[in-house]
Amino acid sequence: MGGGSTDIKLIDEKGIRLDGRRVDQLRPIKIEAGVLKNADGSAYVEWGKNKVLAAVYGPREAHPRHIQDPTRAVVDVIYNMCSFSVEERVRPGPGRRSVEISKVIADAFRNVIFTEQFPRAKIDVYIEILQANAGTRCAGVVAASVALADAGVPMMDLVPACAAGKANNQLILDLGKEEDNVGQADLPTAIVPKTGEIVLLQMDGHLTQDEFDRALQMSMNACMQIYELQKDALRRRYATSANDAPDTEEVRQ
Amino acid sequence: MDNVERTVMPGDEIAAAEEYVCGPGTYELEGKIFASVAGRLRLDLREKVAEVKPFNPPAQLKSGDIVIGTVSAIRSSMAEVEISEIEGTERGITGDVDASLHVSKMSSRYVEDVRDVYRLGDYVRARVVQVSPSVQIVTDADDFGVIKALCSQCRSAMVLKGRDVYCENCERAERRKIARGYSTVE
Repeated sequence: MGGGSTDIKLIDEKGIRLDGRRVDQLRPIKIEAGVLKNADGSAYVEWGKNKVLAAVYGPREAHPRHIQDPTRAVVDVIYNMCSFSVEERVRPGPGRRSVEISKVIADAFRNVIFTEQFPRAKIDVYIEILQANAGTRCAGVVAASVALADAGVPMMDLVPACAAGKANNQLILDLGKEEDNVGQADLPTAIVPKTGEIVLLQMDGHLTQDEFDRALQMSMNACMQIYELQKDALRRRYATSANDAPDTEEVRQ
Repeated sequence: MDNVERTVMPGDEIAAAEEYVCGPGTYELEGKIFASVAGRLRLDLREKVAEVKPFNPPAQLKSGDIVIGTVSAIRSSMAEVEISEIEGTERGITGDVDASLHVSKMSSRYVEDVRDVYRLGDYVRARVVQVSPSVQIVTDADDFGVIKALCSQCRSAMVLKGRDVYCENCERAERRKIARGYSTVE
C-alpha cells in the first residue's frame, strides 16, 4: 500500500489503467485442473502475471496422532512463495505474511468442506506461488478450490476469490502490482456463490463505508465470473476421462 | 422412465428436496439438493435417490474391499494388520488403517496357533468385512493370505516350496496361509 502517494498516474482520463484495462475489468485468467500426477488433486492458475500451482493430498490419516479430531477432518493450508516469484529474492520458508495467508485461506475452506465426513483425517492443501504480481492470495484460493474439487473432496461449493481496491481516488477491480503498491486500498474477497457468504475478507488501506460497499459488490460480481471459469476448468478436466456421454437434459415431471 | 445421468460440479443444483432423497455426493440446503463433488449425477427415478458418483473418489475402506497390508502384531487369537492399499486404487487410504484379523477367519481350516499362518511383517491380501467401529478383515478364501512372507529369523523374502514357504538363507521352511498368486504381486 506504500504511502498512498496519489501523484503517480495509474488511471488516465478515459478510465484506462496502466495495463490497458478498464476500472472494472479482470486480468486474463487461465485455470487448468489435474496438472500433477502424484497429488490427489491439483490445479494451475495463471492470473495476469501471477502463476500459482495448488496441490491437494488427502483426506488421509492425520499425523502426528494428537492433531486428529474424532469428529472431523483437519484442513491444513500451506501458502508458499517461491524464492524466485518476485523481483527481489524471497527468503524461503514460512514468514509472517505467508503464515497469515495460509491461516485465512484454511479458515475459508473449513467453511465449505464437509469435514465431518472424514473424522481423524487430514486434508493438506499446498499453494505454491511460482510468480507473483499482486492478488496471489485470491489466485491461491481459486487454484486451491479447483484442486480440492479435483481431489473429490466433498464441499458446499467452489470458492472463487477476487480483490477490489482504490487507486487515484477511483475504485478499481483486481489490482495489479503498481496499483497495489501505490494505491489507497486493497480488498481481497472470497465468497461461496451458492449462499453469497463471504469466507475471506481482508482490507488494507482506507475506504469510506460507501466505497467499501461498492468495492465489495465489484469483487463479488467478479467472483461470479471466476466461478464459471473454475467450473469450466473442471469440466474440461473430466471431459477427457471418457465417461462423459453427451449431457442428457434433466427430465422434470 | 429412464434414470437421468449428467456431469455436475460441486455446488450445482440437482433437484428439489421434496423430489429426491439426498444420496452420497450431495447435500441439502434450504429445500434444494446440491452436488458436493465433481462427478456423474444419477437421479434414480424409481427409488427417488439423487447421488453423485465422484470422478476421483477418496479411498475410503468399505465392506467388501480387497486390501493389501502388513502384519504389525500377533496376539493370542488375532493378528493386527496395517492396511496400506485398497486394490484397484492409487490413493492413500482415508481414515483408520489398523485392521484386526481373528484366528477363526484366517483360513478355511482350523488354525491352532496364529503363528502357524502369519508372522510379523508378512504382506497379506484380505477382504474387509467391517469398517466401524473397528476394521475387521478376513482371509478365509483361496485368493487371500500371505502374498509375500519374511523369514522369522533373517527377515529375507521367502520362496514358495510346496505348501510351505522356504528361506534360502537359513535353509528352513515355515508354514503360512498362502494366497493364490504368492509373490507374483507387489
